[in-house]
Amino acid sequence: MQVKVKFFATFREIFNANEIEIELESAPNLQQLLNSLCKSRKCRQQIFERSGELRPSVVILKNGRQIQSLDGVQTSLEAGDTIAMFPPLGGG
Amino acid sequence: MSGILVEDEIRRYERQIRIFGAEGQEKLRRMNPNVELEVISKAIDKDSVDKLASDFDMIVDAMDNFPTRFLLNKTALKKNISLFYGAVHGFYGQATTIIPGKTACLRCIFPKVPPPISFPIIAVTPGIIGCIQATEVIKYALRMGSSLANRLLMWDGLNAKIDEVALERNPRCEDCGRE
Repeated sequence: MQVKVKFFATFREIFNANEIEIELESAPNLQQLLNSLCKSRKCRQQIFERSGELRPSVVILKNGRQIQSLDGVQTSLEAGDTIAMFPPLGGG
Repeated sequence: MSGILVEDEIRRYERQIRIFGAEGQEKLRRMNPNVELEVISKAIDKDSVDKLASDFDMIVDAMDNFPTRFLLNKTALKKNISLFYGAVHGFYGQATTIIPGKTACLRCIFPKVPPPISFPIIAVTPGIIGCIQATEVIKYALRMGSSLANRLLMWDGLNAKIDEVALERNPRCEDCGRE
């Protein structure tokens, strides 16, 4: 199945892409998606804490909904889902 | 009444087009003598925020940190005041319009206070995001057009691209949740 991932702000530099469509095995969750996206050690360090948890500076929305209000990285994915990934911008 | 809340008027950044304080007040008054203008030189904190925002119909976020933004978010929700969020980092910017009870609030998007970091500023980016916020305020006041309600506008100055992300309310949101 295929999901769309959109990157914004500095995440475009981390993933070197604005948007990708990625093929996943059936019944995947967000953790599997992130594992597929973060192939390099550097990328993993920017997305995950040493403990394996998502860094607080990583915002992920599934179809507009914050994944922390769903099941976090265990949030299940379905074909056609759109995932948005970006950092919280704090300056003003 | 609308409020442009700037946390610290003492700081004078190169990105500030308007100069606040008495000088800025006078300049704005000359530009439009029909506008009633009151400058309040007071820090926004948990003790002052309710009183500062009490008479406002709109709050424009011009903060440079998340803790104060979350204070404004809570106050806007409590007092049913629309909040116009805008933030920047280098060439990147974000903006959305938060209408209490109708749209995702700031806490729906950012459930946890992000760790404080020093962020780079390219002086033009706050100008672009500020103009987008101002456009939202004018449309909201005139009840015209479509607002950024439940849409997070993403400005990418490096690639000269504007995108948007659909937002949804979090029913279990700490600040605006209904569950």
